[in-house]
Amino acid sequence: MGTDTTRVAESISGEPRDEQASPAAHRRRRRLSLGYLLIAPAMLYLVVFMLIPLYRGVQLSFTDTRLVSPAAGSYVGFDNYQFLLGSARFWNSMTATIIYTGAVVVFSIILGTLTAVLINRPFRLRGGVRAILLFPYATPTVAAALVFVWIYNRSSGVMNETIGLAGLGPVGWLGDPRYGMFSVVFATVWKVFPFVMLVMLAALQSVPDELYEAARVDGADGLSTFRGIVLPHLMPTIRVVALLMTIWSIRRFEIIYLLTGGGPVERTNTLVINIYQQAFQQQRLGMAAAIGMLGVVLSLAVTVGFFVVERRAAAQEAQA
Amino acid sequence: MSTIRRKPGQIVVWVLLALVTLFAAFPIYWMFNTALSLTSELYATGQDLWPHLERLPRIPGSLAAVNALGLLRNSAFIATGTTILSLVMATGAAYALSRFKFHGKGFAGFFLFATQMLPQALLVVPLFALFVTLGLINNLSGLVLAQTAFSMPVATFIMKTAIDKIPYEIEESARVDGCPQLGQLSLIVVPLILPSMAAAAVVTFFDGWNEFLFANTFISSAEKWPASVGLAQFMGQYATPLSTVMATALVFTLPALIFFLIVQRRIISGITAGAVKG
Amino acid sequence: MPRISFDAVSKSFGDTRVIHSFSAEVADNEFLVLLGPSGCGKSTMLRMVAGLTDITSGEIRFDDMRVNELEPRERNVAFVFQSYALYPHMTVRQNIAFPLVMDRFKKIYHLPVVNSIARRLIARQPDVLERVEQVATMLELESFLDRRPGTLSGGQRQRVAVGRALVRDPSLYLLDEPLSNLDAKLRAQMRTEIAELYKEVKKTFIYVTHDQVEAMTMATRIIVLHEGEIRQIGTPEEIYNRPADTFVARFIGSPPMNQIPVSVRDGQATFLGVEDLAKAPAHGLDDGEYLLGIRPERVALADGEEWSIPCEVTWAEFLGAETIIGFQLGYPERDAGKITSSDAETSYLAKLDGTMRLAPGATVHLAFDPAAATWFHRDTGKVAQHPKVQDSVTA
Repeated sequence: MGTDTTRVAESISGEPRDEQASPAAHRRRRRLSLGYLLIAPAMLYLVVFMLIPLYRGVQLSFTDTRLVSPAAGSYVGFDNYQFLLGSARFWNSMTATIIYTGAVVVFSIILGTLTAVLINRPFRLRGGVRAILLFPYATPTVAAALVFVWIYNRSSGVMNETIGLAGLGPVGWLGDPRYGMFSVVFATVWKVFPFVMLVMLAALQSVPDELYEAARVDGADGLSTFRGIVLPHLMPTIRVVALLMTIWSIRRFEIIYLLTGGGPVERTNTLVINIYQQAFQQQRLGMAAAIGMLGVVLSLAVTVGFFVVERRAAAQEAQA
Repeated sequence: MSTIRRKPGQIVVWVLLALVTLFAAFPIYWMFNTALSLTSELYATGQDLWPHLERLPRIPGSLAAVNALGLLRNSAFIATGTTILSLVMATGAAYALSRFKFHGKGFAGFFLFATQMLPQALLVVPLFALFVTLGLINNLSGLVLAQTAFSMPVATFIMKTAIDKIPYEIEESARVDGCPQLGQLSLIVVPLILPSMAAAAVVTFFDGWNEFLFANTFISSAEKWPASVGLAQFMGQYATPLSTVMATALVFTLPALIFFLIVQRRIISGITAGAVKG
Repeated sequence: MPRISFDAVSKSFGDTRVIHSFSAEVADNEFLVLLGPSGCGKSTMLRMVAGLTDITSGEIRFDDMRVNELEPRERNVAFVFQSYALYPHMTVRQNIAFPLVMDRFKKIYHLPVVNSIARRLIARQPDVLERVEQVATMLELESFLDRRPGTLSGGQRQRVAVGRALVRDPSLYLLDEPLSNLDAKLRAQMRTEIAELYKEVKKTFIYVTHDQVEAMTMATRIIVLHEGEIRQIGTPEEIYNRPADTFVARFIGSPPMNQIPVSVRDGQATFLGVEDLAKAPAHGLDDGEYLLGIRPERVALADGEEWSIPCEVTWAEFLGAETIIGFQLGYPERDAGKITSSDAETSYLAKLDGTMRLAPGATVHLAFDPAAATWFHRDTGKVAQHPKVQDSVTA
């Protein structure tokens, strides 16, 4: 009886008796805690340089702290948020974020997927072409912004010279409220579409050859093969890429800041640009933090929404 | 190839491919072309589409005039620091996430992913306050610390994917041979994931190399500017000739182009882990 | 060279129990084979002996010393993995030297960078070099010593794995399906080599496999495992000739033993469904329901025996020296009386002389020596009576 109870206890705890005393058992526990030890530096680092600042940011968003005296803000409750939600400027910023994000996601995925399909077959110089297609992804954002500012230059930029050949323009690509958003999206898509292409290329290579052969036997042409076979196969990847692109677009700063600084007439004043302006130009740290929090809420909402859709899609695919 | 009769569809494919390649390459080419132009040519109508290669020898001189070397040295410092700090922490974290079972592992993974959602622009405000307290304002090491928080999770993903692909028996075999756990990491796992570590190093290096926002906010003295901030300062001020600006941008861009091309495959397999499963 | 005792060893993964109270003794210098279908827990058992998997309850002892908490190295075992698990970044020489290098590793050598230098330096010490050469010569690996595992063939990799196990002269060799990644010809050759190695090193071997041929040819003792439970422990002869239950009987032997449902009354067995056709003698069995186990090679065409049973040939395969036929009890026209379905896989089997040419649908009279039959209780599957004559192992 006594032995039996011990056995039961052992099988519940998963640890044999005499464990406490033996040095070997001590070693085994050390093995387990080694996992914590290995991940602790990374986690602690993120706590110090991300979580605590984030928490500080939440606190700030409930104060009227100003840049000149960062320690001297006083608690104002939800005032900042109330102000923002009633402010046309904030909603303009929200709209700009959504337009920018939506346009970048849609166009980079279309262009990236198209390019992946184009180079997903053997041809001479394929390696060279793919290397060139990666240039934008590797180019430092600041350098890219710099050259685009020059390309967009109203009087001497190559963009206006090109459309001038067709008798159009000149256009103020970065100064005209009608074109500002387009110009920023255009430059961003240039920068990010190679990433989409690389991911899609990897996904395309996982399409089983039998699928193509089956389609050929069925007499499907290129386009209907793509729609009927390749695209459904790519959908899970496209969804993940769309999520990444969305999250990254919501938080993208440099290229917009350097091209338009949020202008013209605040057309490209996304939330992230708005945070920076509030903090370092208007010097209202509290307000900037509140905008940032609403931006994080937007990202979180997208992510949660993604996982809900993803789970539903996965369930449907499992049924089919 | 020429013996194959080309259908109209194929011509469309070639034209599209040419257009996309041109689209991708043109800004870099234009950077190069502009760097070899004279200011008088740039603002005249009808620019030369072909670069004046004979002016290449002038470039070092114009780079020296804007102290491009100093700017690049600062960038290299940030990049190197970020790489070392990120890889040291990411190696342990990736190994733990791949090989150990412990409470809160799922949370740790989520935490790493969640960092991808936080805008730098949001954290720049509280980090500014933190760095004032720590005396890290106007200090390149401070930039390393801030940038590492954003780069290290990405390095962790890349390396975890690589470790996941190593058959676990190899480490068990080492264990039977008398190799302790940390020895398994350094003698077996790390040598086996070296290519992916190189990819992670390239990604984190150029994260640091390209970093702009923190540097622009935290660094006030010009001699500490990295190239990203230095270049942005050229913008909108007309004292520096555009060809010099573009030449600087080009030497700032070239190392990134070269290294990314070398390690591209590994980067993708790491970043898209889980995304592409067919 | 330890004697190994298993005392009620159990293993659960979460709520799933994969090993149920495993108790056995392994004598010194034994070649023990853990045999069973995939998923029977045999690899888990081996890993627990090695110390790679924790034991949920019970105890494993080497010479009366509890080893449950010892690291694999402290148990002085060598382990050959199914996948070989060679170190891809090391040469064959470095692979084989690795256990020796680890023996000489001081704690301080484990610092990053220092460790890879130390590893190379130790591997160049003369006694290490000599021992590696010795092992390589034994396994005929001399000409591959400076190559990486990736450039070797399956059989060569297998030999490197064995070499790595051999180099430290462990007291216990553990081999986890080491031949399953090889093709048939190489497998037969490696089987011989491992058997020779066993004779040469004179140590205890525990060998896991699902292949009965490997088990029968190499083992000094076999433990048959099924769903985490021991079904039988014995020498290859015992396992083959005196199976403890219907599972073992069917698992060992190819083609597998026939198990025909019968009823025994007054020392006479009648075949279920065709009771009126034949009565086989069943001496010494109580009245009851049994499965009559008879190996296909013991079934023959009736030749003046005191009894025989008419059967329908359902299929026939000519294999040269012999002919395998599938059969069902009863006459073809007596469909209703058949006790098996017409599905060929549920037919009974007979291994006949190669000169026999039988077409499906033919009626034959078959008989067998009742003394060669094994009788199982139909409800429990446990053996009721072992055969009175013994086969020699013909696996």
